Amino acid sequence: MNYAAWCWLRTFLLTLVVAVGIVPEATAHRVNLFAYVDGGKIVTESWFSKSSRVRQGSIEVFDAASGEKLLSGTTDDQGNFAFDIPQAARDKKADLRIVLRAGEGHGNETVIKAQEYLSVPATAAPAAPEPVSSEAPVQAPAATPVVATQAPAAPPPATAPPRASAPPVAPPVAPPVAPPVAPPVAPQAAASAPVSPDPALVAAMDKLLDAKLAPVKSMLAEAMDLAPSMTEIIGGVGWIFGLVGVAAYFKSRKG
Amino acid sequence: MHISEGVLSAPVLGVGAVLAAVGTAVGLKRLDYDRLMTVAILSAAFFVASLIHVPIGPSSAHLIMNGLLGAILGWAAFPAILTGLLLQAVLFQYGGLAVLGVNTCDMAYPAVICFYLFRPFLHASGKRRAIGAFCCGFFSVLFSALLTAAALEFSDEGFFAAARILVAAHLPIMIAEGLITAMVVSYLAKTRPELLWGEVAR
Repeated sequence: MNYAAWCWLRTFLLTLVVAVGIVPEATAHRVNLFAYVDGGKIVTESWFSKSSRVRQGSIEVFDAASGEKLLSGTTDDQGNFAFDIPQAARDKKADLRIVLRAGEGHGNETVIKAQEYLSVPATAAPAAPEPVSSEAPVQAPAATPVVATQAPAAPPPATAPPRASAPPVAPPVAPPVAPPVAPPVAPQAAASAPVSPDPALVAAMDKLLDAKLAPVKSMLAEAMDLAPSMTEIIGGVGWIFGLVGVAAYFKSRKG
Repeated sequence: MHISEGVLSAPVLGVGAVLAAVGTAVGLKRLDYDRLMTVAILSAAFFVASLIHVPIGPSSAHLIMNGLLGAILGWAAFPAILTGLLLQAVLFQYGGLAVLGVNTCDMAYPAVICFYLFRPFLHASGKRRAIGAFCCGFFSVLFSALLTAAALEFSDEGFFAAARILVAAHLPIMIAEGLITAMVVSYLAKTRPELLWGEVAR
């Protein structure tokens, strides 16, 4: 390679190394959305990065099959928005498609399958177990409507298979293990847990679970918040040079 | 700016795809294949530039470098930017494949427009060239922000609201890019002046 091209290449590689080195907290361009089932509600968390949450982002929930819009809301300053699972969705056993719009063209969506929320019966406890304590102030007003709407309406009998024996409307028969993380864990836990009517015990367990599960939740959130790795960057640059090389080869054969 | 998947409606995506195809075809047609290495290096620079974040208040914005690409490559900025965006979408999920056309348009057309607007300055020497290069970098990002806002207007956000936010957020980027473009163009003018005469894509 001649000297000029070598200068170019050297400058470019240097810039590449410096640039990637400068990026301490590579804030992802895509906005991340994480949704999970929590009792009779679905909690959504939206963020650009750990320190940059989506404020006043719009969340819309659709029936994944029919596309019918079920409800909408706005995220709070922590990027969270929780809603009660609409009875209409429970009746139809609909998968829920949750769409986030965070402004400036940023958006994301996720789907909560029907089996994830159907196997976790709606809790009638006044304080629904909160996954992270910082969400408690926001969730408290939402918790009372949960009691009001869920208490009179017993869950449809067909959709509470392992809990058919224990009337879910009876006061605090909270799901003994109500995992706020990873909805697939819910069905197994609900099937094997005993029914405990003691509110003090339930409250203590809620606290303990919050404490134990908080680090797991942040690990999960971190795993989703992937900035471009060195592998991908070098791969991309390699692709560019490769494509150009192929183009040059074919052009040289013609000429 | 990288618009995410699923934000824009189908007609906007279609129009964007067509306009990007047209631009890329023109870029490839006019490309001088002896200069392919330059295109490759600048495309790679564009690809990596999006990873350089300039923190602005609570959030941050990223460098775009379309001004630099326009100044040196002219119409060839189209295939360069298209390739960079395609790889970003596939490897990091920045932007997306359906919205690739719109993203290419909103970054490459400003590059080409500024190339033509500031060409006389770039062919001059000394201070005029530096100022021309600065303007090329500055206005490329500005027009990009405006085009992105225009694309978003056809979805749910109003044009002026989106434009105000985007332009305000990218003001530091505009200045930074102007400076970078000025520095690189001045350096190239001393070492490889033929690159600046639009010879990469006549």
